[in-house]
Amino acid sequence: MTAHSSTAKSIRKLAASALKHAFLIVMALVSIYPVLWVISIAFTPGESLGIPNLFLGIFPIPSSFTLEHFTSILKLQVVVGSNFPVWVRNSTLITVSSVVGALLLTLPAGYAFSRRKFRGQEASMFSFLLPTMFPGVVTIIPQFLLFSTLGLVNSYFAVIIPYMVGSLSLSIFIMKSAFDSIPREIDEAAMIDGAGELRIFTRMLLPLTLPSIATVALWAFMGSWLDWALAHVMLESNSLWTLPLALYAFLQPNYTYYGSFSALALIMAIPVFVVFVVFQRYLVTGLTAGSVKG
Amino acid sequence: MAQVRLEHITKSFKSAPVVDDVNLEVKEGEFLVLLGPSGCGKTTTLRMVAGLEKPTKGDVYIGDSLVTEVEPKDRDIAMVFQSYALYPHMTVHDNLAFPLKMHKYTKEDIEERVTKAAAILEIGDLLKRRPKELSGGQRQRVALGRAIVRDPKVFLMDEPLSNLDAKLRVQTRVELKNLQKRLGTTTVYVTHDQAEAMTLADRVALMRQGAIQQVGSPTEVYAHPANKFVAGFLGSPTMNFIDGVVRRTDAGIVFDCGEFSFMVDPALASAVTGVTSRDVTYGVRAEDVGVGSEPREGSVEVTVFGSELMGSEQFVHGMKEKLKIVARAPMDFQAPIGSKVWMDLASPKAHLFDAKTEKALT
Amino acid sequence: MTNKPRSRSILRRVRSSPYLFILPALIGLLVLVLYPFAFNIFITFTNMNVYHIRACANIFANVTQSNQQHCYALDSGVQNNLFYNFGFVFTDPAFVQILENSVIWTFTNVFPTVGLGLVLAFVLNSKVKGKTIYRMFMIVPWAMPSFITLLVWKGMYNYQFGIINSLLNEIGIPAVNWLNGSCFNAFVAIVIANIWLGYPFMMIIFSGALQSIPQELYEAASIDGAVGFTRMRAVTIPLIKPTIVIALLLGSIWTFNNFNSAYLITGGGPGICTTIFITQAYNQAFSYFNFALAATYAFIAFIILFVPGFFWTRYTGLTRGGGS
Repeated sequence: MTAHSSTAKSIRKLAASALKHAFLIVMALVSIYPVLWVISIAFTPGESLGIPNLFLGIFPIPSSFTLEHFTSILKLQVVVGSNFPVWVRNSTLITVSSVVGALLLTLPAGYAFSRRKFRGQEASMFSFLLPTMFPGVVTIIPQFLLFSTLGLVNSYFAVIIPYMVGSLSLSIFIMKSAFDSIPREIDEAAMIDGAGELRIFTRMLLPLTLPSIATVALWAFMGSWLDWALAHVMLESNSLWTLPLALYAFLQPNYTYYGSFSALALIMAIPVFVVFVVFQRYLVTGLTAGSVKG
Repeated sequence: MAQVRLEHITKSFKSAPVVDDVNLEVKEGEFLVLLGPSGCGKTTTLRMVAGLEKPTKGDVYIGDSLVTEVEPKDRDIAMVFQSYALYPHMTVHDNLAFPLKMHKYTKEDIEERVTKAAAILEIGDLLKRRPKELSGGQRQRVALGRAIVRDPKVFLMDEPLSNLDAKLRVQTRVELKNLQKRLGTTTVYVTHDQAEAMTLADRVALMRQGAIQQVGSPTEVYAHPANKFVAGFLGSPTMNFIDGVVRRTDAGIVFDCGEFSFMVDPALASAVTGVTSRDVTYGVRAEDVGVGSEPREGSVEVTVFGSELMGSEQFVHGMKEKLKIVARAPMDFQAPIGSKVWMDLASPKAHLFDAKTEKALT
Repeated sequence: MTNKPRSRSILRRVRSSPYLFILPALIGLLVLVLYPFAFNIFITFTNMNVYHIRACANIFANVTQSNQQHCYALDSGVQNNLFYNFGFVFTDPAFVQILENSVIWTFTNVFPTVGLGLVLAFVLNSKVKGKTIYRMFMIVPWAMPSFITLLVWKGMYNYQFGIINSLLNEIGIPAVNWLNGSCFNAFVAIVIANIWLGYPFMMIIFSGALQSIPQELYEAASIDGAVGFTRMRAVTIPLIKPTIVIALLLGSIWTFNNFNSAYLITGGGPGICTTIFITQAYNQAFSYFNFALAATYAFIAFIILFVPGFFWTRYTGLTRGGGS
């Protein structure tokens, strides 16, 4: 029985691995560096931008450490006079509805574009690209007028519906692509086994395209969670404020509350990470379905 | 010279071994089939020959070289996957040419080999198509073509026919066997279908729970199974198994299972040595069980509970108490359900297995 | 085939019609995108400004009974020329510069962002330990509101106090005036910041695409002899081509219309060095409250994107349907 000893090949493997890690570490540091400043500001007392100490000459560390910004936000003592739980509630409800709505719109559409042939197919797919060619800012005003007419302004619908539609452009292409990559035989085999179209869709196609569905959901989530412009126009009452609205409220024309702003920005980033971690599992499947047999 | 040799190959995930100390030699030009139920380790073993998995212990030899640490592409092998794994973005021609391109064959060489392979497999007019435009059978042949273009030392095949419909499968089996004989390439083939193994193999290696149960030619393993598992796995319908005791008497060996007893065939008796009394399992195939409508010396009375009419023959299923026995009979034999027939279990081709170890006693 | 009553089979047909599947999405598109689009084209021919909007809102809220015409900005006697706005834009000496800036901005952003995202996706898709943790770090630029992170970038580029210049000093390079110096410097500054914002998303998109490649194809490739870069070139990249195509297309479109990076860091300056169409439209809309002019800039930007976009989509077969 021979021992599997290391050879020149192992050394090469080690070098490749080291190179990968070096690259990833550099990218990770670059990715996170500006945010270190945000963190530093969030934990520094006062609302103006002070110059923090620099650890190793590059990493900002607050000169004095405080939790005052976090506590003031969470304890409802904010200068703009509204409350954190309300913002969280609004943002959460709006975002969840937008994501669900986006999925409800995107999945059937992606399926139709992939599995069916019909007239006007290419044209309608292309038309989903059109919204992106249009700067978002200028669509807001006519949307406002439209929703005013319908009396929907200052309600959840005023933002949920645009958010749902806003993410469509990319999402439909992602889903169409994903469905395309699943061979037709799977549909056909299921059909022969007696499954109806709906069952094929839900039991076969959806599970196999989970990474793409997760991407679409993440995309819709981000579009809704961090949006300020549309929310600012559509939602007027304090009771409807979302987190981004509260966030930008710290940017008063005469004074910028950098400390509170940074703290709230960090708090808002936490759910993004949580969602990302949860979705990781779906984004990174191994797609071993079918490739491993007994 | 052995073309493929596995020495003490073991593969474990966490602590449980999936392949357990396998030793196997495949002769040059031989068609060896790894046969066994799902999960027995046959595919993992194949993948270790391919280099797609690294053995936890043991060595792999191809030709005379030790290849355990060698990359798949340098092992001079070709593999046909169960799902074919054709490159969807390439035409059939490019799929066939790809391995040659990767191994740096000249353009002329590539064209020649591709044309030849396409001719052999009769896919010459499909060369410009893409995999998604082909039928299952056509794709299967392209997958085969990709394997033969390089004329490697070994073909490795992982249940390549299982995605075909029954009729096509049987037809392709025969073609495959012919092709292999024609090319003379050593082939290791994995399947769970015992009929397929019997048709294709020069030798069969039966595996169960990671260990090789028996290696031999189809006739050998069929007629002389080394244990109950092998005996039960091969042949359709499955061999009849009856648990009981054998006793040596002056007249010969008697098998007694409680409900009945009979004299074991003298040829079988002489093969059993030593013991005077022992717990055994008696095994006899349907085709070796005689059946008649009249009682005979040593035959067992059973009640018919079903019969399979195969066209050229029939299989009569009889039951006595809780015991079920299948016997082969000619088509015109009358065996209506509920009637009584007599089955003669004593046969020179029967087998005795130790009740505990399941090893053959013959 | 059983003899189903006619009505039932028609109902079935309708229920599983592809048009039904895309209908909700199309309606949303029609109402929320195409209507604003039409509206936008409309107001390029007017001189709509903020007062008209307020009046409109008031009318709909039944607060005042002002002249409806006032709402549609058709009341002004200021312009006799329907194409006044377009004339204004095209005769603006800054127009050419803005156009140039926008195009260069797009190209210098898209390729590095897509490239970096692709490389990251590949590396994180291979055998490397700690994938999850690395990924968490990589999406940080995307997860934080870009307003604050871009302000931080602005601070980092500060000539006197910025961290970038002090780091350069440490390795012996003299400080660079990023934001108020040459055009080139300012441009580089915002491009770097924008790439920083953009690669996480590209990485996620490409990761998803790479995941959908069946493992068996990689195994077949390894037996066929394709490993490492060869395999990437011959097998992997062709299989994710559709994703690369859409990433380039949408990336270009988004970058062209990306407001934040160009505005927040340099404000469009120095001069109009870093002004692109969208920032100019914003200036008009919110500094001068001239929505009509803003709409004009937006419309021109749209045409610039639409024409190549249309041909690119055709050429790459992006919208080619499936059919069963």
